[in-house]
Amino acid sequence: MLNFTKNIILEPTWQKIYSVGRVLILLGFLSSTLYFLKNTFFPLEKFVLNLKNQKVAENLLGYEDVSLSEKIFSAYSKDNFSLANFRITTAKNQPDLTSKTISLRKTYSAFAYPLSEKKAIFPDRTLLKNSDQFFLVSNGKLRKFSSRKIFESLGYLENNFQEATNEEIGSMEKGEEIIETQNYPDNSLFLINDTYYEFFNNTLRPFASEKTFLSHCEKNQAIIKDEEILGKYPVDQDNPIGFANGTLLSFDIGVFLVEDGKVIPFNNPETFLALGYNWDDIIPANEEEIGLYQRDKVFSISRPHPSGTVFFDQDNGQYYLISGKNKQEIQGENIKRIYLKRKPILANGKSLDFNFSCALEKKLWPFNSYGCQLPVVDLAKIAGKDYQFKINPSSNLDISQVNIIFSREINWLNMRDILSDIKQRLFDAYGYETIN
Amino acid sequence: MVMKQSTKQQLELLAYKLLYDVFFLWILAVIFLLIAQNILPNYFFSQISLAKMIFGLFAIVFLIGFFGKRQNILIDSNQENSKKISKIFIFLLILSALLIVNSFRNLEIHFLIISSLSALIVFFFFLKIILSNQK
Repeated sequence: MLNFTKNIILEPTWQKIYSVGRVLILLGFLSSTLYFLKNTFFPLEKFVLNLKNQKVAENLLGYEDVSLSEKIFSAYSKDNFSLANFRITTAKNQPDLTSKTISLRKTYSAFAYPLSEKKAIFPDRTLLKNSDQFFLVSNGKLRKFSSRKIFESLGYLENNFQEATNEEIGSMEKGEEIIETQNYPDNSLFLINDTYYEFFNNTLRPFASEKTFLSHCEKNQAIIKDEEILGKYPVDQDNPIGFANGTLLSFDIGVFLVEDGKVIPFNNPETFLALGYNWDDIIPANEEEIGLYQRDKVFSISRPHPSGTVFFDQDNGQYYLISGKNKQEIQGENIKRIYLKRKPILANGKSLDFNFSCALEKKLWPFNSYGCQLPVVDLAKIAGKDYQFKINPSSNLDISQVNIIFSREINWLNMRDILSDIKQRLFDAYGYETIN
Repeated sequence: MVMKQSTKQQLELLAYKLLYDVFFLWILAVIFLLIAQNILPNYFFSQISLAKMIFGLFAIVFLIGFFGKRQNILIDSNQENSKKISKIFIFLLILSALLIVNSFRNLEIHFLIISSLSALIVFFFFLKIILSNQK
């Protein structure tokens, strides 16, 4: 090491102390550098839940009180880890948790919603044919055109209708037959002067653009009409129809997700990828289209997928549609075709099982705390961003705090991931294309 | 018990010399972090605070100044050290120029050429002044 103070001479004894001091400083510097590099390349990810309302600096854990005897804590990350350290601290005079099991699964929280008894059905506005019968899906019900003459006199052509199997038709709730030729049924679609309209409650509601129409329906579902019809029914110009729920939009440098009349901006590209979305599914929107919506809070990694999301279970080959806080099975090739306009989110049915577990042990510090460690290397193969930890205390439990720390082992496999991440960052920073 | 005057002096000189070494390593760490931050933005500073590092650097400089003043140590200005310092200074100047050019990499090429040429001219005269001072 360079000596900048050569000209300051110490007495021999002090010179020896100085030499030892220099070595110690150098060792301290080297060990700090190693510690810093370890924390940079293999960072810990810490999550905390404080139920006593104390402010915490770390990431917040999700908490779900499923029942008196089942509690789930969720940590959210796009990364894979080697170990998870779980620690729970209870209030005073709580039951002993020693030997209680902590189970873990990695999944998408929306994919873990309970399976609804109802199957996914054809969405409203769909025109269906089954042998010589013709139908319109209106207000969630299947309405049959009483005869070919009726739909022809309303202006429909046979090629407006898409095939549906007996099972698909049979799975839907039946509505009133369409017998009138004077009035259009709700959810009829028109194309008038290059603008798409939906007929609903005797009012015509325009789609904001062709792109918004195509996010819901196919082009051939609309009947071509002339301007006359615009004089016959009132037109609700103030409330144009926007994009379908779950549509991904881009505007300026932001990417947004459409959900229930709002657009939710993604907080960063990592969240977008962690949710399993595909860059190819993004539709560029213009100012008018994006202006239809209120902007919601940012879409962070802790947020579940919204209604309208389709998951594909890679383990059993089944498709599921998220509807509210349930998931519905999508059965039937024709129904699938409608919902698979966007690529589905890849998930694993096996990820729903809590396959990893450890037994809690009492910790010396803090008081009333218990912890255990779970090896989580195998979770890397499973699709998902939600690490859900389940505990089944025998009775109601007053929890003060829960801490979860994820760590990575220093090994070649993890190092390779880090180098790949650095390479990607360098490519991003120096203007090369993304390699995802 | 009162510490002997000579022991106290040796202790302060020892502290001064050790702090100088810490200062050198600290500067080295800051330079490395600045280069790393410039090449890979926000990768390394997610684990460390530059503000704290700079604050630490000031604290060390303050202590060096404190002990130096107590022991009447003047910053050495002999020929050899001054040459060494100007070499380090030139190295730091070149490094800073490279870092600045790198941070401007996303700018328009015309603007980049003009600003780089202007910087080089300023840099050339700056070096000339330093070298003439040395002579």
